[in-house]
Amino acid sequence: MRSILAHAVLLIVCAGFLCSCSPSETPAKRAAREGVLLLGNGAEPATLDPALATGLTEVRIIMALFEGLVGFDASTLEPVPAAAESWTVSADGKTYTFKISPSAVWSSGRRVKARDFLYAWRRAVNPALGAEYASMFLPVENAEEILKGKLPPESLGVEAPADDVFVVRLKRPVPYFLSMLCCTVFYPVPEEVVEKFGGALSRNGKWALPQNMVSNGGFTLKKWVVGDSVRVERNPDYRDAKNILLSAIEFFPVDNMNTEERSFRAGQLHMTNSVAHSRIEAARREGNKYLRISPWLGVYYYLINTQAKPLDDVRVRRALSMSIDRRSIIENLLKGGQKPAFSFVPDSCGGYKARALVGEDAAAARKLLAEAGYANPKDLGKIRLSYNTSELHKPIAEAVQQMWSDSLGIEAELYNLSWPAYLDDRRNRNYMITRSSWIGDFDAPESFLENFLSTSGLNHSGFASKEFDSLMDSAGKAKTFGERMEFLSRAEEVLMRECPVIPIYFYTRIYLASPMVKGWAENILDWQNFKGVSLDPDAGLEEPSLSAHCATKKDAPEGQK
Amino acid sequence: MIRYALRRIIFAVPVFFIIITAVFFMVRFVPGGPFDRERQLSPETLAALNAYYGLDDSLPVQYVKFLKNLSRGDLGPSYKYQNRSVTELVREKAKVSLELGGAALAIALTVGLACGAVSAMGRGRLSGALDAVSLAGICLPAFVVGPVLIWIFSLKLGWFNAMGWREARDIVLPSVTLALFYAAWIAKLFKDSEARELAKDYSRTAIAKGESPLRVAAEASRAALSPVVSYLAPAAAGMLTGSFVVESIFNIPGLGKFFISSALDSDYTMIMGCVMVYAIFIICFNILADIALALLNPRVAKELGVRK
Repeated sequence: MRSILAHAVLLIVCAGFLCSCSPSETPAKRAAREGVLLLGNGAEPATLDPALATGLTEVRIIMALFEGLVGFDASTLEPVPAAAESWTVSADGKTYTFKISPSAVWSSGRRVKARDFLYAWRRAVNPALGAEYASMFLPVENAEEILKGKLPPESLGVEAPADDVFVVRLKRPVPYFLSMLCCTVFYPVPEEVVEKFGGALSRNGKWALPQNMVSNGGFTLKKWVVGDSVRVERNPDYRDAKNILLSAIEFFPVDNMNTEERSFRAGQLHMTNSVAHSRIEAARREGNKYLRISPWLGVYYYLINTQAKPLDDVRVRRALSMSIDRRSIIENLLKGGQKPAFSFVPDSCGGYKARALVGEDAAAARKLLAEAGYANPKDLGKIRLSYNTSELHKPIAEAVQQMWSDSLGIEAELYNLSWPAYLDDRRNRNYMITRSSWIGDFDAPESFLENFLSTSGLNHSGFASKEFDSLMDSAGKAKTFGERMEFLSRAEEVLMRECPVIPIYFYTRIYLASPMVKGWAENILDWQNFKGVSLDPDAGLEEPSLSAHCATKKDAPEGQK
Repeated sequence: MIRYALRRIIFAVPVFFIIITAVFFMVRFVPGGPFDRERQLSPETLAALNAYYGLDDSLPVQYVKFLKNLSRGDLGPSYKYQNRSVTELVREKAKVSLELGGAALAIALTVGLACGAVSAMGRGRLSGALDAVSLAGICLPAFVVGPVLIWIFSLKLGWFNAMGWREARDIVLPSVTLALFYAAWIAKLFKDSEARELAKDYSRTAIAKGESPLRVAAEASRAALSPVVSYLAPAAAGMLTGSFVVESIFNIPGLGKFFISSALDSDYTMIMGCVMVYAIFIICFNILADIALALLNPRVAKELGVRK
């Protein structure tokens, strides 16, 4: 009896302890009082050198530290003045003249000059540096020859006739050139610092480390502990400092999505970078209290080897595309607000409206197969569908396999490959159908469609169409926006007609955000300049850890677009 | 004993070189390379990168250069983390893993040996309960224990952070998570071994003659420790060089995470750095374990050819 009583008392004490304890002020709340944004940022950044950065992980930090000639409106992505206060475009659309803002200064106090851009661009395009995004310079005069080692970097079509004038000559008009300039590879770097800590062509130079870095953006680099965090602090000398409302940002590299969510709920983060697929439903059950879902400029698709039999017949390719129920995949598997992709270019990309749409029609697909000589689908043999190891690729492939079997009677074999083997197979076109995805570099349809030019190094499908190439070329030469969109629509019509790709869905960004975060603008590229972003420590009335278990549906998401 | 230790250390040198040589060539034969991307690089960029990192040299030349740099303590630049050298990264990360592993090792040894001893000497329900706890510790993976501990002590009670490695208290949950499995094994090994020793004639005779059971148990534990010591060599190396799972659950900037990510990224230089640390720990702990076994058990010392 005594033993039972003792156990009961112990249990009551423990239960009381668990239920009554309320956490003291969380790190997120404390940081909010100090104006420090705590941001989950996915993986560890590989570099903070604007010329060498490739992933969104790095880009997000670099966009806080640096700014290029042209900035962007965080909501609309419209190009806005940044280091250049104004610009003019020649009548033929091939020469851009930028006027560098007199208030643009480096964090060292020196003025940003045109020669900083000259140095940075020549450095980035130099093949000896091996910048992975150097191909973004291809529209600039002589860039192609420089990248192939046929001309020196000094011959790049740029010049700095005065300290505050920077001229860019393009080899052909590029209507979306200003949007491209928002990409970090076009950002300036301080020559004297780069040369002092390793030199222009060093990939391992120490100039992009906290103790040495000089930047020209809204923040300066204060701390970078690999695996722990990157801390940037407000740059008081920044030309637009009045719009930087945060005192600092800490970027946390948390690659485990469950860890990231737990940290958010424990009050260690204001925002996560993502949400584990398996946790989306749970986050929704909170009445979207913290869950944010916004469109992202990316497409998930299946790439078809158009040279492999029986996929060399366009009718077979189109039948496969038409017999996939995209909405079912999204509703039953993804559940993250993705949009079904009936075109390759996402709608609303740079004002584009997709016209060529895949029709989902199993009966028409069977008819197409019959016309191709496969009235009996067994004659097609097995279709090999490969994908790399990932949480979602397998269930999507299984769903598609089932749909092809149910609608067309086609047998698909699934091949799960390691990442290197997957890349190797794709590069060598050693596949029939393979999973793929593409995230736009900038807000223009060309960022998607140019991959299918017959000359593109990224075109692994075997698709080559003179008509498509010619329409893309015409779009580049178009005089008006409407004319350009018309050519691009026609080019996509060719692409969808020839069907080297089966678009499945358009991506969304899915993350958790504390109500403390104000002024966070969402855009389809998920770019942030952190202007106007602020923190209200009193906005999060409930601590995330507690509300995670007692959420109601009354709370509408703030700032959700 | 010193001669034995020296002999083991001398033999360890070629073993270490065989390991690093094998790994050096094996990683290069695995499909894919450090610059494979979904967005394929142009041939010119790829050539520039290969030239920059010396990957355009023949494999034997690369190997000779690697050994030459290694003799100067230079492991080269990381292909992935471009502004850092591998030596710098390994030094920084190994320190974190050592702190975590050291705490976990201390917890595992203290809890494991104490539970094992009590279980071996105890009777009935206590022994059974400790056996059940040990079994649970062995069966429960870190990816279950870690989140449960976070849920209770971080989300509910707010005593600890859910991730990170900044404050002194950040060591508690990860080290307990890491230690639990090893503590359970140590408890089980020690309990079984101690119980066997206590059942032997010399122990029973001593107790029959009126010797204190605690004193007998202490004497018996000398021999009973042998399996624990053998187990500790790889276990300690595993704990001290970082656990990928625990580091990932608590987002700890240790070496364990880099071990996995460098292999996935084909970051050759970083792989070599991680493998070398792991190899050094394994070799050292095996030597230490053999010496400890020889000290604990004269029969083992004889088998190993140790002369005192």
